[in-house]
Amino acid sequence: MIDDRAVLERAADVRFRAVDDETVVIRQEAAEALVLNEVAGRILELVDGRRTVGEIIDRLFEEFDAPRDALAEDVCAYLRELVAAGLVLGA
Amino acid sequence: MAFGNQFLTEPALFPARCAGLPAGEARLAVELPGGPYLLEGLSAGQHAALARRYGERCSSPAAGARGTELRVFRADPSEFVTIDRRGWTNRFDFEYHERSVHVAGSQTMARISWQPRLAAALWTALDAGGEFLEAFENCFRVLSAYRLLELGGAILHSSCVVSEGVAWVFLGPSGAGKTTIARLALASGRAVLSDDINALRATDSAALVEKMPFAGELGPTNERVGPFPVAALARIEQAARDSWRPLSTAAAVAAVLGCAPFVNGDPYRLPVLMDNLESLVRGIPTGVLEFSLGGAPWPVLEAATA
Repeated sequence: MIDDRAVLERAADVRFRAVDDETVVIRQEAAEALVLNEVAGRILELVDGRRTVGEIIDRLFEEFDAPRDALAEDVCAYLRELVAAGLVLGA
Repeated sequence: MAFGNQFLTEPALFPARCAGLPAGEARLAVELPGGPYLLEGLSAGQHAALARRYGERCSSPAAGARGTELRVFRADPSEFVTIDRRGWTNRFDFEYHERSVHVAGSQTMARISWQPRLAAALWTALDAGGEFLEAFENCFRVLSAYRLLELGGAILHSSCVVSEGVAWVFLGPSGAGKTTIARLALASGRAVLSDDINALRATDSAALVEKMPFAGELGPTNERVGPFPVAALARIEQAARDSWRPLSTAAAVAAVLGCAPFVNGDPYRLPVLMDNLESLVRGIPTGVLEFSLGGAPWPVLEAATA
């Protein structure tokens, strides 16, 4: 369950880099590389094992021109995908 | 499983530096991508096995010859776990450190280090024959990957086809069709470097690809080794018809990164690898090639990369 109070962290073997307006991500143990769009890449960057999901949403609300409710919904959806992909450890 | 447990009886005693008792006094220079490589401390049997394996690419190094050193040291058979090699598929373990990379495999310990410059040490109890060559090549594949990294490139799990003096490099995981497309190329009269692993490096004017001495299912092909200028990098997918779809720079980096063995698992050298790959793909048309088993993707490729 991902809610505002959840604190998530990246998998230990995940490395990433912004390239143009996308993010290249690799899971080093599996040698699997993939590409995230700008928002998903920024979310992955903000998931640091300290911030809550609510704080991540607040930060993105400052950076992106979008209604907060819609943004919160998108962030939770992206986080579920990042968890499913093994890039972020589940709550 | 902890590093080396599968292969070494005492993984905690992995050599802390590149030192030991040489297997012998023989030396050999080998001209392979990123070379020359200077092989030192070989026994007579090891020297003979390598000379047979690499043929004309071998020479006797002159006094003071320069190259990337690989030194062979003697190990005791008791240092290695006895492995039942029935149905054996070659594999090895890695442990990455800030200044070295440790490799453990069947009858093999190897250490790649950067003190004071890139070099490798191989410890093995094997004196000759196919198992020694396997141990050597386990070490050499890793060493050459880091040597190519120094040269602004990478080794890539790939199939490489040469047509009219330029090369197309096909990328994809096992089962994507690297050997299949190599067979289609041979059937069309084109040359194939390797259907398993090729060496990519940057020069001031172009990206070049060279044949590594390792073949996949296709087996050894021909004596064309390159280097050849790279006309395109293509992630391959089998489909009902032939088509080409360009990739964004990030998607191109991801496609190549997933096919850059050894170094793509190394957290310490990954930033350099990503620098190299980003620089390379910005200069080479990179896309997804969908190809059909009954088709001929070459006109599609030629049009995409003209």
